[in-house]
Amino acid sequence: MTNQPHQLEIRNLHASVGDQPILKGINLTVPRGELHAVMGPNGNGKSTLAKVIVGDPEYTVTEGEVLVDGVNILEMEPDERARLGVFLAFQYPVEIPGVTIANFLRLAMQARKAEGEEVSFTEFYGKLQSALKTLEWDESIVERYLNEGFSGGEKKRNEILQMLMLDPNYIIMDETDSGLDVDALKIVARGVNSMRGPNLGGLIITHYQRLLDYIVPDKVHIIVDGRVVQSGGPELAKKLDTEGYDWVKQLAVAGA
Amino acid sequence: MTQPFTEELIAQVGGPDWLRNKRRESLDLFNTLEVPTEGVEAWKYTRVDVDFSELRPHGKRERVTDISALPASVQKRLTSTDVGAYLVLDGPDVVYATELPTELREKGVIFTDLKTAVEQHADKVQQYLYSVVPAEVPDDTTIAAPGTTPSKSPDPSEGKFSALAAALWTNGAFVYVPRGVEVELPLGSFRVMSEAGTYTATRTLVVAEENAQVTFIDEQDSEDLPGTYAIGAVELVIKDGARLRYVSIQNWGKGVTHIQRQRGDVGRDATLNSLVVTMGGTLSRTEMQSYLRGQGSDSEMLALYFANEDQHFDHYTLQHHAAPHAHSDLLYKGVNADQSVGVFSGMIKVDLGAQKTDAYQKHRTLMLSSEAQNYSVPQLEINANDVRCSHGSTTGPVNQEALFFLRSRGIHKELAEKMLVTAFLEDVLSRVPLQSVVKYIEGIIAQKVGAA
Ligand SMILES: Nc1ncnc2c1ncn2[C@@H]1O[C@H](COP(=O)(O)OP(=O)(O)O)[C@@H](O)[C@H]1O
Ligand SMILES: [Mg+2]
Repeated sequence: MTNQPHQLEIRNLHASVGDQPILKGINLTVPRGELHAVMGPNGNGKSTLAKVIVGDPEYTVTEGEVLVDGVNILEMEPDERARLGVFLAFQYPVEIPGVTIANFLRLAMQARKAEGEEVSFTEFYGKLQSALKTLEWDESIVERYLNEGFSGGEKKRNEILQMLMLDPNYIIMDETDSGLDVDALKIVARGVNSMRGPNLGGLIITHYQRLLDYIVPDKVHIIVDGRVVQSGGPELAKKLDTEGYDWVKQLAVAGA
Repeated sequence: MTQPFTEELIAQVGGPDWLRNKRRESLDLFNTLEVPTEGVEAWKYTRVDVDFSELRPHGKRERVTDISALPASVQKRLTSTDVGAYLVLDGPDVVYATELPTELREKGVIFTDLKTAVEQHADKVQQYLYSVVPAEVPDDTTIAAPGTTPSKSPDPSEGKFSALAAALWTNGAFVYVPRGVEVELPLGSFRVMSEAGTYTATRTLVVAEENAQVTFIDEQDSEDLPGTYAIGAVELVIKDGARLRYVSIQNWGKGVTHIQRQRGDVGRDATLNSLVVTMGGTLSRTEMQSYLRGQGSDSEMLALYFANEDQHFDHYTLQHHAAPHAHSDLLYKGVNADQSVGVFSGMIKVDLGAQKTDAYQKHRTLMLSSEAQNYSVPQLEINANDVRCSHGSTTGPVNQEALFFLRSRGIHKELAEKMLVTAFLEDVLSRVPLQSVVKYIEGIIAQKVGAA
């Protein structure tokens, strides 16, 4: 598989909930080394796309493929996909009382190791220290139960903590910016930018330009009614910011 | 048809005259009662299919002088426990014991086995023994306003096993803490059994005098023992202003039927914190009853259980508010895997005069298998008009959203499920300030989760 392209490729992806189609033929390719913004009005399938990629059992894929470095992952279990290096920062992370962040992070790191290989204390602790520093977070946070009683902003920051700890190859960030104040936004952006490099590809789902001021995307795609209706450079995001979404909705009607 | 136990057995277990008389009366009662049937509300979902004529008492075991001669499971526990003094019972009698620290003895604290206490502390034992858990079922009929329908009275057959425990108990722990004395380190008893096809009847008596404070840990553990019965009674006397923490950890081997009534009599401004842990045995019926006798008394009632394979766990609880301004807070959490059955009957009773009662009850179960069953029967009988009572029960599978979240981070499904089961039981444990006990329980849970 040495000649496979290092990219996340979504081919003609159709997915539904029950018998209601939501994704209606998404095509997208993100090579490693690039971050693409995904924008679009509410309720048009952005989160669905994100969750289908990571294998949320709520959704049924009816057609198409998702290729990670050339391998179709749609038949894989969610944990298998994660171990391939796909990571979703959820729009609404769940609260799991009774599971501490520390324990959770350790087990998630361990899950990526080969049989018989242990996450050493130094590896874990070293990584944790540096991630917490980037996020300006006190170490005591990891003794708390996963997201229990966290504010919206803390939950988002916690998603980035996991991202930093798990070293994914492909990240998908689902409206990580919503509910964050400017300071928190900068911290989150710093976390993502610290990972940026030739080995990281990803999708940044957002409504607003403001996150993209800090994480400048290589490309921008607009999703309306379960399809990519327009792709372009960073200037496309700026256009949406000033002109709103009405014109893209027209594109969808024209394209349908 | 149940065969009567004979007088001969009384001679074997012995005791002074007053005790023998009591035993004889109890045995007579036992012989007149039936094993509770399906028609008895408090036993609706649990059948004990026992042929008493086939049962013989568990054999007596020699006392040992060294821990290394004890069963392996007890030895292991003893290396990690932090109790200040303990008894080890194998079947009917004590096989090993440690002494209370001198300092506590000098303050008048007594910790010994009940048989010895009957001889050496006759007055105290005679005063309290059978006062909280008598042979018959305690009459918890509520006091209602004149002219209103009285609440349901218990069925006499609910006294079947307590009558047995009253008649034929062989030994158990005796704890006495004098007025105002605080015992810091917990005291404990480790019970094992080692002979299949037998029964063992034990009795524990803990007395905390006014403003005294003590923790007692009652652990039961054995190898697999087919057709074996452990019948117990635990009497807890908590005088005005006293505080008692009672922990019972049932981890018998397969084949054991465990039937134990635990009851606290809680005085004015006194506190009883109980924790019931049920992990072992094949059939288990544990009753935890708080009789809130005194004004301003308080009872925290916690439990956790994990039933798998063909285990049948029945938890019966009572929060009987007999005085005003008392508070009770119950949280029972359980896991049912495989073909196991869980039963929870939780009673809140409030007498006519018990105004300003604050009673809370919550039972939550996690179902890991579609073949497992769970019956939850909360019941309220409220005769006072200015009270706060609430109860709730939830049953459901592992939270699928949480499971997906963990898996989306690369954690394998099996491990993610185990994490969630452990997490589910965690909040009960987080309320128990006994580190070594919590560790021990977490160890048992980890084992059971691993097997599930
Ligand atoms: N689990 C679900 N159950 C039912 N409908 C869903 C579910 N997930 C998404 N949808 C529907 O699919 C559409 C797209 O939702 P979503 O992907 O969340 O949009 P976006 O992220 O673009 O706001 C919406 O109409 C939404 O109501
Ligand atoms: Mg969304």
